[in-house]
Amino acid sequence: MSWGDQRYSPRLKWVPLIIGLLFFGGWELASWAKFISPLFFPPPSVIIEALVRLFGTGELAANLVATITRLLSGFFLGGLVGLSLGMLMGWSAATRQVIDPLIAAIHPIPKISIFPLIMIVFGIGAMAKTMVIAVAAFFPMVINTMAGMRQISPIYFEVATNYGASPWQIFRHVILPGSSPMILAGVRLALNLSLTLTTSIELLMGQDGLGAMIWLSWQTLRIEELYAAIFCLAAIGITFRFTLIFLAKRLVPWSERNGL
Amino acid sequence: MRITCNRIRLEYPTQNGVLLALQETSFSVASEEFVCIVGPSGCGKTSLLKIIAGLLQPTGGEIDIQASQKNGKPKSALVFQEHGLFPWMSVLDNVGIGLQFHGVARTERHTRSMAFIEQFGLSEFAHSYPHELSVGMRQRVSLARAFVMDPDVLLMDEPFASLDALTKVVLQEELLRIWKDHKKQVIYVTHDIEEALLLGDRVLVMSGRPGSIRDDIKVLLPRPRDLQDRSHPEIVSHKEHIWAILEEEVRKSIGGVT
Repeated sequence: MSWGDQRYSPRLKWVPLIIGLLFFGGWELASWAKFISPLFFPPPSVIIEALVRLFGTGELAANLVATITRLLSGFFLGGLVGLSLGMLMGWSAATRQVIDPLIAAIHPIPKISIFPLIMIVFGIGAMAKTMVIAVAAFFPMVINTMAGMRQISPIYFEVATNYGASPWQIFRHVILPGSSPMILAGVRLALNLSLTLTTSIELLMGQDGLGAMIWLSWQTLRIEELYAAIFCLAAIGITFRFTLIFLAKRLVPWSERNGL
Repeated sequence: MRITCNRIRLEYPTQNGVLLALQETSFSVASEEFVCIVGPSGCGKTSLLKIIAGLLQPTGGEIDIQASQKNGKPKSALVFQEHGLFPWMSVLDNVGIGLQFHGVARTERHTRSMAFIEQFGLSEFAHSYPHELSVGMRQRVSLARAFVMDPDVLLMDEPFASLDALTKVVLQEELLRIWKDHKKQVIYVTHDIEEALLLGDRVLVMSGRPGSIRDDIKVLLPRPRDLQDRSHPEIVSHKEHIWAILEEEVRKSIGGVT
């Protein structure tokens, strides 16, 4: 890559953090000075207070666990099916020919819109929620896995064959590492989509989880609790990102794009 | 090992019907012989190499490879143009990959790979990834990967085509030096006439598509042949002769007037 300026500067690493601190500092001051409404924009210190209080009562922890459990079970279910089918489609043109048009047709449908249909099939319990998250996670995984396998240069297969690789060795030493950067990018997309879908469903159903907590605090005008839940969602997203960067450094150290 | 190609024919199905890539291609290569194949682009020289490597099946003719007595050794090892190294493996793992595919244990694999990594002057970079190396260094790794297999024949597909002129000369000399130590049979495909004459015991000249052997030239000038030998009378006369054949072929293939 030689377009633009692609160099990383270690000094700039702290700039996003400083921008964040300035943002929250400004918010705090503006809210105390009643420059913005303290009812709808309570100062961050009040939100942190609410966070600590809600953790104390166990309410926040319970909702956090509910959201993460739901999110991860949906992600793993949809992600693993997507990974397997994507590999099958990358491997065989016949499978691709049959399944690719179906995926192209279903993919653009907003997944939240099929939630009622999924409830008809799976009932109104936890299963339906997991399934709709799984459906959302499935698409980026199947598409990225297939594309990741397809973009491996044919020359690597020729080298492997000429140097005596068995089909399993080709899979282990060519296909798996060759497609892993794209698969990791798929994981990132799938995780973010799962988080979006989880929150949407919880908002919609209003039973438990961070989404439900947001809706409930809005209805009862406990705005600082609403923000506390949003902070938790942001924390989940940030955790995903750092986990993925860590994984990429371990799994694809050779990829120039492993910063994701 | 002796390789005999007898009236090899290769056809590809394409959208506009069958494309004849090679026809009536016959030649043989004796053991320990360094044979260069030159020809215009698209003449099927790479396909010919892949047929010998067993990666492609000819649609006609036969190929006879009489393997040497030693067991457990691969017949051929390919060296590709570029990008043939696995980007996800370190230099050490790339060089040792053929041994790994053949089930050689890790310690032995590393010892044998390191020996060749050293011969090609890459010891410092054993744990680097290909993208951290220059193009010339990467091609050295490709050569080491082929040599470590101790194959009967090395098949090289324009290995130095993407190198700058200076690096090319250095690597050609390195290749000849290590080839001399190990006495390998080499089939070396190139479109560079001078390179073919400096490296080869024999130069096979191919016609444009459909490819076939137009001439078979023995280069008698003793090795080591260096830069000055580019102007040696024998080399110059061969060069003019080959160029005359190729010029006609190139004109035919691009539709010019002869």
